[in-house]
Parts: sequence; C-alpha cells; structure tokens
Amino acid sequence: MLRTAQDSVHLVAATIGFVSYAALWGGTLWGTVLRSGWATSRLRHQTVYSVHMHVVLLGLTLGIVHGIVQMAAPYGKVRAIDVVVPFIDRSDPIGVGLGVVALELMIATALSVLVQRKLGYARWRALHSLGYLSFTMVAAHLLISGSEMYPAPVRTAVAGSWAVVVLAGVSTVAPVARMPRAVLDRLSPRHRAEEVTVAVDPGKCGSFGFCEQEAPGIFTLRSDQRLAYRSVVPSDQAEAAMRAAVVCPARAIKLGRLPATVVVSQPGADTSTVAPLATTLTPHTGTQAAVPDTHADPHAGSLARMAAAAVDQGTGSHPRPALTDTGSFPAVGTGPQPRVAADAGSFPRVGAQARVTDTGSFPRDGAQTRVTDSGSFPRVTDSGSFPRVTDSGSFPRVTDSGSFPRVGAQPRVPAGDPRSYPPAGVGQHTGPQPGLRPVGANGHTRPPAVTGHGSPLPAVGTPPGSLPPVAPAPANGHTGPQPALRPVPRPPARAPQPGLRSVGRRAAADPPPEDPLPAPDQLQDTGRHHLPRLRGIAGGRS
Amino acid sequence: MSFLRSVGGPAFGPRDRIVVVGAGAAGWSAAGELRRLGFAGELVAIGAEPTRPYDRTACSKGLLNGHQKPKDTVLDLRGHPQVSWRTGTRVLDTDPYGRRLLLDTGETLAYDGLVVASGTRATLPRGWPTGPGLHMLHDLADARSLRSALSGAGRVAIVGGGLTGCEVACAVTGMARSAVLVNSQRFLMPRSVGEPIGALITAAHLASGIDLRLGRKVADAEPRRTGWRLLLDSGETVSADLVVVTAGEKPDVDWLANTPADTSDGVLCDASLRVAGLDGVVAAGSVARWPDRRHGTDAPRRVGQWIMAVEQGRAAARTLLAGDYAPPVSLLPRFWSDQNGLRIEVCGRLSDQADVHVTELRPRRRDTARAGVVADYVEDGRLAGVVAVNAPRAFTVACRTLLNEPVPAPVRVTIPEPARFEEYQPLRLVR
Repeated sequence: MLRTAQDSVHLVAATIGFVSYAALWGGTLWGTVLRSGWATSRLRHQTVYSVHMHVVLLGLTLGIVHGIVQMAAPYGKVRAIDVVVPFIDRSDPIGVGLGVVALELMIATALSVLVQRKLGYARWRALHSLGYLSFTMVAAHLLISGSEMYPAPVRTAVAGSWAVVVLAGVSTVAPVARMPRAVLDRLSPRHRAEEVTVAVDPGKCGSFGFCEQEAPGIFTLRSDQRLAYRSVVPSDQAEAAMRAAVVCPARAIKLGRLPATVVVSQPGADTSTVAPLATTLTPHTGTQAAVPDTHADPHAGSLARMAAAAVDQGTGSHPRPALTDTGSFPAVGTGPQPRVAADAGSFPRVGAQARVTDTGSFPRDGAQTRVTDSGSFPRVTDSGSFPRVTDSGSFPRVTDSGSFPRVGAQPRVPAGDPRSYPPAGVGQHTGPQPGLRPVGANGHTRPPAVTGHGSPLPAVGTPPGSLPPVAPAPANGHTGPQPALRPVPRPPARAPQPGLRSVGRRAAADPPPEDPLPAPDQLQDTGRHHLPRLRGIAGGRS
Repeated sequence: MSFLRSVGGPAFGPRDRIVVVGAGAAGWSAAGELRRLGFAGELVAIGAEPTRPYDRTACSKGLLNGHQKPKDTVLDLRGHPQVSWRTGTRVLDTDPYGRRLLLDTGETLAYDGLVVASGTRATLPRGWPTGPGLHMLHDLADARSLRSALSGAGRVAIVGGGLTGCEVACAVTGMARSAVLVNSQRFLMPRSVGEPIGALITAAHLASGIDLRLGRKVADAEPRRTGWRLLLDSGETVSADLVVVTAGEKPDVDWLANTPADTSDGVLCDASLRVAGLDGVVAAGSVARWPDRRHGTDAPRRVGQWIMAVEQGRAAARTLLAGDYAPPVSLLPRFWSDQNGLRIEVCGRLSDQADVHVTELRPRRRDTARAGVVADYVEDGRLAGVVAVNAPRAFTVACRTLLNEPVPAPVRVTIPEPARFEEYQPLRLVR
C-alpha cells in the first residue's frame, strides 16, 4: 500500500509523540524516586538525578519535534501558530491546545532548574511539581487527539500509565508518605513512643561522615561515599541520633521527634511569686513543722497517709515521675530520694519534718507537670515568635539598692503583672492539666499555690521601695514559704517522728540534722562550691 | 541562696530562673539541654542579634554563595519549649552577688543560674579606616550585606587567609568574581589545618584561580571613589571593589568586666566549664576558656568552632544543674569546611611538636588535595589529631578512634581568689 505524504508525516509525528510520551512517563516516574527515602540509601543521588533529567529532556525534545513535524504535512491543518498558541486550532482545539499548554508548561518547569538557587528550594519544588500537571495534560492530549486511540487496550494503557505516575507522585507528599507509619502507630500505639525517625535530605548531604562519628550504629558512610542509615531508631540510640543531627555540617538530618523528656512548669502557675517580701521578715520558728496544716487544706489528709503514699511511690515527699531515658546523663529526679529541690531556693531547710509538712499542706506554686513523650512537641509556644518576658524587669526594691544585702530570694513581683499571682481560692486546681498525669504521687492534686491558707497576699502593685504589709500569722502559726533570710541557728529539736522519717528512701542518706549550718558571714563566700547539688543528676542513674 | 545550695539539695527548681546570655550555637544548645534535663523554671535567652538562633557557619558558606537563604539557617527550636528568646538585647553589666543583669533596655533581670555564651565579635585591625565597601564577616547581617554587595562587585580583596577568608574567597570565585587573598603566612589556614595540608590546599586554590598574595601584610588601606586600594608591605598595591577583612575576633565579655571573673581572654573556667570566681555561672562557646584534659596541657584555651560550641553548651547545662558533682568536660575539637570541592575535615589537636604522617589516597594524581589526602598528627606514639581533605571515610575512622580513646587525667587549673564582697562596686544603674 502506498502511503500518501500526509499519512507518512502523520505516522512519523504520531510515532515521535508516542515515544515522547513514553520518555516523559519514565522520566516523571523516575523523578518520584528522587523524593522517596528508600532510593536514597540504595542508589546514588547523583545517578538518580541525572537519569531523571536526561530522560525527561529526551521526552521534551521529542515533544517539540512532534509539534514541529505536524506542520510538515502538505495538506495539514496545523499552522505554526497552532503549535505555539493553545486552543486556536480549528479542527481539534481542545486536544491540540492541551498538548501545547503541556509542552510549554513542561519547558518552563525544566528551565526553572536553572534558577533553582535564586528561587530557593521550597519554591522551586512547588514550581517543579507542575510537572505532574503537565504530564496529566499530555495524557489527556493523547487520549483526545491520538489517532490510534480507538482500541481499548491502548486507551487503558495510556490512562493506566498516567494513574501510576500520579499515584507515585502523591505518595511522595509528606503526609501521604507518613500514612503507612501512622496506620502502624495506630495499630500499636506504644511503638511510636519508643522510636525516633531519621530522615536524611539527599540533596543536602555532603557525605562528611560526622554523623557516623556520633552514631555509628545508625549512619554508615560507605566506601562509595554514599550514606546508609537506619530510618527508624530505637530509643536507646535516640540520643546519638540527636547528636548526629546537630553535628551534621550540611544540616541534612531531620529527626521525627526529639529524644527528650520535657518538663515544663504549668502556664498558670507563675514561678516568680514564691515569697512575698513581708514573709521574709518573719523569723522561721520551726514550730509549725510538726503541725500538719489540715485546716486549710482539705486534701492534705494525715501525715501518715501521705508518708505511706510517698513510700509506696518511692518518690518521696515531692513526687516527680521518673523521667525516661535521657541518654548519657541521668535525668532530674530519677534518684530515689525525695526531691526537695523544687523550692528550697527560697526555703531554708531546717530538718526533714519541715519538708514533709510543707509539702503536704503547702503546695508549691509552679507545680510541675511532666509532659510525657507523645511524639509531638507539647507546648512549644515560642517557636514562631518571640514573646518578650514581661515580668523580668522591675524589682520591688530596686531603688534602695546601693548595696545588695543578701536577704535571700528577691521576689520578682512586678507591679501589675497579672500572671504574678496564682488565682486565689482553695478549690482551684493548678495541678493536673487535662490529659496529663496528675502531679501528686499519692493521687491527690495539689491545691493552689501559696494563697489558700489565710495569709493575705501583699497588694499587687505595691510601689517599689515600700514593703508590703507584714502578713499576720495565721492561727496555726504557719507563715507560708520562708525564703532564706537568716538561717535558724539550730533546727528545732527533732522529736522522734517515725512516720516522717520514713518518708522516702533518702531518710538514711540525709545529712544528720545536727549539721552545723553555716554562719551568716559564710554566706558571702560565693566560691564555686555552692552550686546546686542534685544527686539525681550527677550521682549516676539509679 | 548559695547558702542553701551548700547545705543541701536544691537544684534549679521550678521557681528559679536561668538566664542564657547569647543566642548562638552554645546558648541554643544550652537552653535546649536545660529543658531536656528537666529544668522546669523560667528560662530566658538573651541574644544581641535581632534574629532567631541560626547556624552561624552558614554565614561564610551557604549564605554567601546562595545555596542557603537566611530562612534555611534557622535552628530548630522544637526542643526548646517555653524559652523566652529576648533577641536584639544586650547585657551591659552584671551584679554577681545580687545575681542580676543590667540590660540595654534599662531593666534589670535577676537570675539564679547564668550561662555565659555571648561568643565573640569580629574586630578590625588597629588603624584601619572604615567605610562603604569594607566588610567583616561575623553574623547574619554581615553575610547579607556582603552578599548583596558581591552582586555588584567585580574584584574582591580578602584580608586574612584563615578558614573564613578561604571560604569567602571560594564563594567569590564561585560567583564568577575575581578574588585576591592577602595572607601573612606562606600558606593558607596555618592554624586550622597545619602546614602540610595547608600547603596542599594553597596549591589547589591557586590552581582554581584565586589570586593569592602570600607572606604579605596590608600596610595601608585607602578608600577610593569606586573601591579600595590596599598597599601591601612588599610595595605592591591591590585595587578592589570590596574588601573583606577576616583578621580576627574578640570575646564579648565587656558585660562581665565588673565581676571577679577573669576576662582577660574570654572567661576563665574550671574543667567543668564553671566560671572561675562566680557562683552559679557557667560558660560555653567561643567565649569560654577552659582547660581541656584532651588538650594535654594545663593552659586553658578558647575554641571557636561550631560543634564545640554546641557540645559545650550541652555540657555547661549539665554542669549548671549538677553543681558540685559535675564531671570535667572534655571535648574533641572538630570542624569542617567545603572550599571549591575540597571537603576539609579536622579533629583533635594539631601541635607543632607532633609527627605528621601524610597519606595520599590516590598517589599518582597531580592534584593531591582534590584526590584525597589525610594527615595524622602523632604525639608520643598516640594519634592526637587528624586533617583530611576529600577523605571522609578515612577521617571518620580516625575520628572515631580519637573519640573512643580514654581521656587523660584531669589537669589542675588555678582559680583566682574571688574579690571580697565589700570591694564589689554595685551596678551602674543608668537611670
């Protein structure tokens, strides 16, 4: 059969078009490999990239040739302007128009590689994903205008190949890529809390190998300078993974979750209002130590019950849940001893009994809630903007401070700061947040801070320089938290109090109560020995 | 307070406030580590620059050649919950006894624990004129202005052939501008990589088209109408549109001048990074001068490296919370640089007395540095430091050897006697 010139041209153009489609299909599909994690550890990034680039460029070139060849037909209806301006072709405006738009879009997408640095990676990436749109248009062009499209298998093949590309492209989008893992997590919720995911950006990784120095069990720099890594890291190596992410010169390592147990104070409980200045002037008699203040605190219960509960919990009078593994350094509060640490900065230790009593009946404000690792990052309130500290500046006694007598903790009570005082009222909770574990080990939540015991707060907004009124001592003789004004020369006689002594396991390790307290003149010695002593931290993990 | 700490237990609890002065790598990691270790009190980080904590190494690397935007250099703050970042604020003075800081906003900020991580400042050599076209490279603003100035420049003179100077020169040539580098030594990066590797890198840079003026010093710098003219001590002149001076930096310790701390060169610390003479104060980053047991000598010294700053920040946070039980801090100095395709990696100490073994990975190649070379610094039969160019795998093996090797016995440092309380001058309250 003799073909006409028209037929021959059409045959050539259609063949070129099909080959172009095949090349574009392969190149686009290969492009999704660039984004997927599994390929980066098996194939060299540069290889994947150049294959993608060359195959797509081939398809693009053939596509341009396909358009030009259409004009070569002797009796063709396609004019030069039809190949450039879409939707003006007279015979098949939609089909040809889609092809023209697709070609131009694809050329623009390819050229955007040249200005990638100028655009920045994220913007370029968004622009580059137009490739999927243009490929969709190419498939539509083929289905609408293709002259060999009548057999159903051909149509199915074209539509199927398009669907494969779109599915592969969608699977690289971060939320979709995470979906299998999210499903797994839902099936076994404890799984996630124990692991940290690691992802290395292959475009950034410079193969310096610093990550392997920090975490040889996770990262391995191969001899061909490819980096192999484990994408899911068990919790015992999470610390190493974090160090590797920090030292990475190219900042290419991203962790799905930081291996940290974050303890934050509750938002409502401001920590700066521990001690009104007035109470610092009241000498600490020590007598209230043995008297549980059960009148004011309905939650307090009996001392014995508290002590028993504390012993049961093994965490002592200031219960803090044990923190999870924080790596090489033991976490705060993991030690078995009761923690007095929280507020003793403003409270002189006069003996073990003082601690116990105050813990039960006088809740610390700034009660802590342990936010367990939940995979997400709780309460990162300041990651985006930078809230200014509002209560940092003014001191009630700034003006008369020619010299600074060491009267203990200076209350950081700014005038008029609404956050300064916790809400008054006995029944109000500053304790547990919804969804979080309750604070107290004995199950009761802490009543609100400082206030609910009848000792009036000094007026908020007391002018600087003038002391707030001295709080009258309540009926039970307790005057609230006592910042260190002056050490009591001798702690009150330690009557045998078996119930109290048994609180916590620290009882045996406690320094004997007859420890000579430093004389006041020793307070000036600010050598480096007076840093906080925290056995839970430095004394090895227990 | 210190009395209480001396008697017994308190750590920095939820009522305490720890202030981190400096929002660079050290301050960033210290703040994160404090939270990670469970410090539940108030945490305030004060940074002099008006930006969020960022990756300072990008200033001479990715930011200059355009691989990174300023947005890409921002450090991850996900592990820093409830840290008040007070950026754009300077600390003017410190009252170590009242534990208060005087800020440039006029307010005083009390602290219970303090982390000194204020870093360094770039300095101009004495007698240099200033003016448009003269750049220093230290922070994000410097990098930004230099980058915008580079777009209109044709010829750039770089004074100082250290690490930063070489990186700037490579970025300049990477942008198709000509670079002239003036260095007082006969080879580049003498302190950073030592002589053998420095000479190889010098040859590689010379081959890649950087105009090197080695063994010369700038005798005079003169601003011209369109650029600058540098007169070298050899008599030759260098004309350039831009001058980048990378000739030195100075610790930012003015705000500690009123304290008993030794601020002659950075802040003198003990082996656990506690600032000598101050209670409840630790230091980290390039401002901290401390005796590292790994370094072998008793002389405390400062290290201005990114990884070191991050690790020091974490160690300082641990020391601050641990107090008396803080173990000595010993860290391996490590840094990297990527210069025109030369991946330079250094770890350990490179002393002049050590025996240097240079190994070429591909011996027959003419461009030795580019083909891969490793220099091992051996002291008393033990590996003490490694420099590698384009040999990441060999470097990793050597570096892991160094990391795993036992740290020698602690060195003693003499801590100066703190000043008497009576001698202390109170804060210079400006109002």
